Amino acid sequence: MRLEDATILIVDDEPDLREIFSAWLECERCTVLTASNGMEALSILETTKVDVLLSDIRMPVMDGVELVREVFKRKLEVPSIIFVSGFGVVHLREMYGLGVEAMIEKPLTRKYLVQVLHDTLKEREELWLIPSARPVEEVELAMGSLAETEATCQFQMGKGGCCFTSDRPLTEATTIGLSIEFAGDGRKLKAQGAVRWFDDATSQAGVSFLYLDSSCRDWVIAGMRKWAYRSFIPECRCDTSDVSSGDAAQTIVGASIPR
Amino acid sequence: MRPVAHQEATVVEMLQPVQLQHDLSFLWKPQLRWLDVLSDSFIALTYFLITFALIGIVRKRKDIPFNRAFFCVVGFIIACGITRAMQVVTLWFPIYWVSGPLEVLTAAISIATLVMLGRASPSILAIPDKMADHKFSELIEDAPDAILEVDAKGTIILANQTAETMFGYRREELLGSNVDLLVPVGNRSRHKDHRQGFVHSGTARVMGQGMGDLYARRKDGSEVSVEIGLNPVKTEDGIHTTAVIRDVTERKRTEQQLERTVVQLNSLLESTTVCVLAVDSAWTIHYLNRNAASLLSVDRDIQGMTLWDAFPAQLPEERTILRKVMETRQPAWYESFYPPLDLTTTVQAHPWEDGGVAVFFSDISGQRRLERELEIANRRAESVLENTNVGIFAVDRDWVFRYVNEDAKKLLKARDLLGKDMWKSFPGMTAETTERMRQVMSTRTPAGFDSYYPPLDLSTHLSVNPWEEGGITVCFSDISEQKRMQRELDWERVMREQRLEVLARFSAGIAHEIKNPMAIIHARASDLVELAANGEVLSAAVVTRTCESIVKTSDRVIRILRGLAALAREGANEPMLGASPGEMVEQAIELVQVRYRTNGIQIDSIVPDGLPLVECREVQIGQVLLNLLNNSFDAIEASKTSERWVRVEASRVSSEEGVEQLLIDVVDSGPALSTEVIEHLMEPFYTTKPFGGGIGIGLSVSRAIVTAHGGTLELRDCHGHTCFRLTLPVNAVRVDGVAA
Repeated sequence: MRLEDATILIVDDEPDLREIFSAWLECERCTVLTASNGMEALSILETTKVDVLLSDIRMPVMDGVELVREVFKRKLEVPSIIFVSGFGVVHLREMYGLGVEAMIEKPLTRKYLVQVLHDTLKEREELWLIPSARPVEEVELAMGSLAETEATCQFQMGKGGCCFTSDRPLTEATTIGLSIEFAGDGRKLKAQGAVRWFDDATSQAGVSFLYLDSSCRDWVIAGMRKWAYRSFIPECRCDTSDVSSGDAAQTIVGASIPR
Repeated sequence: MRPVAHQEATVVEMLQPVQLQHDLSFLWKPQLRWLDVLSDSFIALTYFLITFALIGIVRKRKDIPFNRAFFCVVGFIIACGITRAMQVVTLWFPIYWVSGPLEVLTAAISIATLVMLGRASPSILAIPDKMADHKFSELIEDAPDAILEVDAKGTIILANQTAETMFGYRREELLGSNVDLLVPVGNRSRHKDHRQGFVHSGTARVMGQGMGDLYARRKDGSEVSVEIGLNPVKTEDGIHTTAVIRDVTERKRTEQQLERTVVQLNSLLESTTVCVLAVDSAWTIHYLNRNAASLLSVDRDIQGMTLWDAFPAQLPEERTILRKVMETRQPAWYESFYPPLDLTTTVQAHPWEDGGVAVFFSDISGQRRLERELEIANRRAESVLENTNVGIFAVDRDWVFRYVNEDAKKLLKARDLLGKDMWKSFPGMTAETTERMRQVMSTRTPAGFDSYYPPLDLSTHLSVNPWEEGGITVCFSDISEQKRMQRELDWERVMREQRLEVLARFSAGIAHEIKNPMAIIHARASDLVELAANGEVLSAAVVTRTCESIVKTSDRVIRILRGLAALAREGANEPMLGASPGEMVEQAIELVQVRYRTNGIQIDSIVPDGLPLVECREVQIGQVLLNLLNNSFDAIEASKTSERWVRVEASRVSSEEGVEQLLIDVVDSGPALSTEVIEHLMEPFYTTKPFGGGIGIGLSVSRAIVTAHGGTLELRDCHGHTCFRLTLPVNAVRVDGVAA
């Protein structure tokens, strides 16, 4: 989708900022809506189709986090969400799970904001085309079928990444190579991604895709479209019993790639 | 009547003499003959009866002497009786060959009787004289002593009943026997000489003087211990001797026993470790035992001296006591000191027979010396325990004070604790201290702990140990000063921590609050740069509007930063300066504004115009207000149901004493606090917030700050809402207190 065709909702309690962001986006000829808090934003979302939600986090009455929770809870059509954060602690795993795609920091320039919006509005086919030069780690896993792993939270797919049970600790904000063989489906995921979160307790990792190998690119994108995932990266939260049934996954020890 | 006459005739016939030819009396008339027969028969009968009477008397009266002579007389009378009877018989039956010899026999008995009487006559003659005095004889008979009279040859001529029983001889056996009969066989020859000597000396004396014990020999050969008194009696026969003999066997035995007892007693007195000294009523020493002599370093020959002469150095106090014992006859117990010998004794003085006093005493000098040494040691120990700034006391199992040292009295500000109940003497001991002490008492396990005694504001370190017989000892040192310093250090630490906490709590909000204006400034400025870079002509209006926005937004940032700087400052060392209440309230609100607004809590302030400047450390009071606002925020956030507002009201009042005061009330819509919470609210580290919700130092620190300013911080209930009232004197009294 092109920026000029998009409807963008700006949520910020700072009038000056709303004014500035609106001015910038109107220059790009897109439709701009504004709200001063989450509550106002929610009422707009209930009535209007919005492509991108650009929201501040700390706001009176209803903050950004509460807003996306409500959107998720009310099963509203989830737009691409971009958090514009001043300073604050948010739970990344939850935020990505709720559909947040990116977080950008204040202060920010017009160019940067426009760039982010452009990327967000790109079709999937335009994404994940160029591999990273050298991931810091290669992870190779073997699992059952996709349906099975979905149910046991061993592997889940979101609209911008996946979560899975790793065979080793992973460092957040690093790039990894990921190779997962789904024996039940006769498919293999081959990708590169950025580690967005890692749970030491369960050894689960959340990864946003950076590159999809051509061998799997088609079925992955088709799947994303088919299943209309709401999460950007799923939380991979299942019942304890399901989590513990991780024996089904045969972990292939992948060769670490030296830096 | 015939038959009777016939019978009489028959008797008469029977009695008719058959042959009367040989007796002239046959020629007597029958009446005469019957008279003769009757009188002879009567006389014969009387002879026999007299005999029986005599025998009966003799048998009953054992004391009648001369039995042989007596029996001769009896035989003689019987013989006379028989002779008379034969004369009657021969009237009818001429058995003269029978009567003749009987008369010869009678004659023989009469001659024998005569001889007998002749021989016994001297004795018999003597009897009537003595017996004449019947009382005298009775006296002799009943005398408790045996009485003998012995003639010059030694023949016993008088013996009483007691002599019979004493010697076992009958009186007849004694009378006429030689007195040597009664002398033990071994002594008989000597006795004869003594007897002769006595007779010649002719003076009364006690027999056997200088010869030891006298013994008499009984008939059965046994000997009795006797005392004998001898008295010469002059008679026609020469000098007789009366001997009064007393059986002293019993007395001897008693004497021997007594002697033995005395010996035992003496040896007891000599061997006992108790010293004994006895004086008579004239204070003459009658007895002192060996121990007494050796203890008092005197010879036993002081017996006979008076006590005063023998012991001139005796202390007057003791003499007074002894005199009292002598007078009152009541015993006395006392401790005596005899200076010349450095001798301490424990003494019992008892009244003694015959008005004297017996004194029993024993040496306790060693014991006293030990006690003195012990006392010195104790004093030394006590002096060690004193003046150490360590309070020491001991209580028994009933919590009664048994020992309290001077330091304890000083520290506890109490005197005369001995014998008093600890709990009653020191009420207000904290529950913890009470519990710990009771634990030591019951478990007998020592414990050491810090304690605080609120009534005296006394902080101590206690060391509690089990003590003999179920009590405990408590050693404690005053650590109030230490504690005070510790408290001050703690306050400082708490203050610092609190500032950090406040900073941390606000940092997110503040960063956001700064980043927002920075984003505005950044965006405005970069827009201008972009326009300029694109070569566009900027209108003055656009530039002005943009820059005004930048300036305005920058001011906002500066204001926030100033508040932050105030929060970060120590504040404690700043001078007391006049500060505007309105500004202080505004500044505090400024800092929390974002957080309040973000959480949808309404905050209002009511500060009337014309409030006076308050002399205070502005930063510190600002921190107090900030704390109160934080508390209100937390209270409202914690309650799901309450309204969401906070109101800050400033006002001025005059206290009762006429001191002008500033009041700042912080009222919030949170639920009223429970009494329990209110009680503890000002304590450090007390928090109503769940874990992680704050460390609860705000209020205690705030109160300390306000107190240091001479003001108060109270919790009030305002119509069901929580209200903290901060009161500050407008012209602060400088208080050097907690360095908060």
